[in-house]
Amino acid sequence: MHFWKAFLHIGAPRKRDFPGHQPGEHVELITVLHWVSLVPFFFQVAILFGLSIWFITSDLYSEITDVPRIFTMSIVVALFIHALCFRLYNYSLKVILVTNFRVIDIRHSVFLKREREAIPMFNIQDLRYQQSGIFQRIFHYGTLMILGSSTDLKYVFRYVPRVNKFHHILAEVHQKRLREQSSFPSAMLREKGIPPAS
Amino acid sequence: MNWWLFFGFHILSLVFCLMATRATFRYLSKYRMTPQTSFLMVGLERTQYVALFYVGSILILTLLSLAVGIFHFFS
Repeated sequence: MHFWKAFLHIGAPRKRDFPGHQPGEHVELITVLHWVSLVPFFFQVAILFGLSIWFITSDLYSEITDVPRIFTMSIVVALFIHALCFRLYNYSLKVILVTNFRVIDIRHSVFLKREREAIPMFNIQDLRYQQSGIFQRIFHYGTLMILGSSTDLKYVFRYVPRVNKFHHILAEVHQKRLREQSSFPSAMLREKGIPPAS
Repeated sequence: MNWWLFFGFHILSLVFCLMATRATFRYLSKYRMTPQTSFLMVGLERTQYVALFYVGSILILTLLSLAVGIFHFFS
């Protein structure tokens, strides 16, 4: 058990809240995408798996090759387990983070992809969310749109879980950040003992 | 079919599975999660079940292939 924990880095001390954490930054919300984003992939895998098993158990297989069925079957099962679990690992590595400074979209995969996009709070002009369709309403997910300060800046996050709650938290953090920024010069002047201009 | 090819595939498969599991957990362990901030997150703790299933099933398939190989060898 100790080996397993050491191998997987479970219980290791964490110095930062997330990779790329800046001083003074604190996390307000972490989320992965909704599990519905996995459904199309799982359907494809299930159909392919069914077809493969049907082929291996059919008479056609024995006409084509003399490789024992158990060999091929175990290889096919292993490949499908790899596909499923690898997809689940990738799913857990795609993270949306909201901190008091920025919104970070981390799109990593296990081996091949390292991608990160950060949207500073002061670049956010407007926040919108959309839940349309019966599935989005039943399973509580939707699309979140972050509109940037220039017209061509638009960030779209699909399959955001509890999108209304997510939007609410993000809007609160955004407003708080804007208030802090707008009060910053007067607070600095007060600290220095300079009276604000009337 | 040469049994060694079959067994070799499963050994490589097991190695790949362990590498993927380690890489994933090394990265996920960099997040510090609290119930207040990560209530929507599939974190380290819940991904452990996936890892358990993944490593367990691939290990069982490898052992099964070994058993089949031994059976073929002695029969």
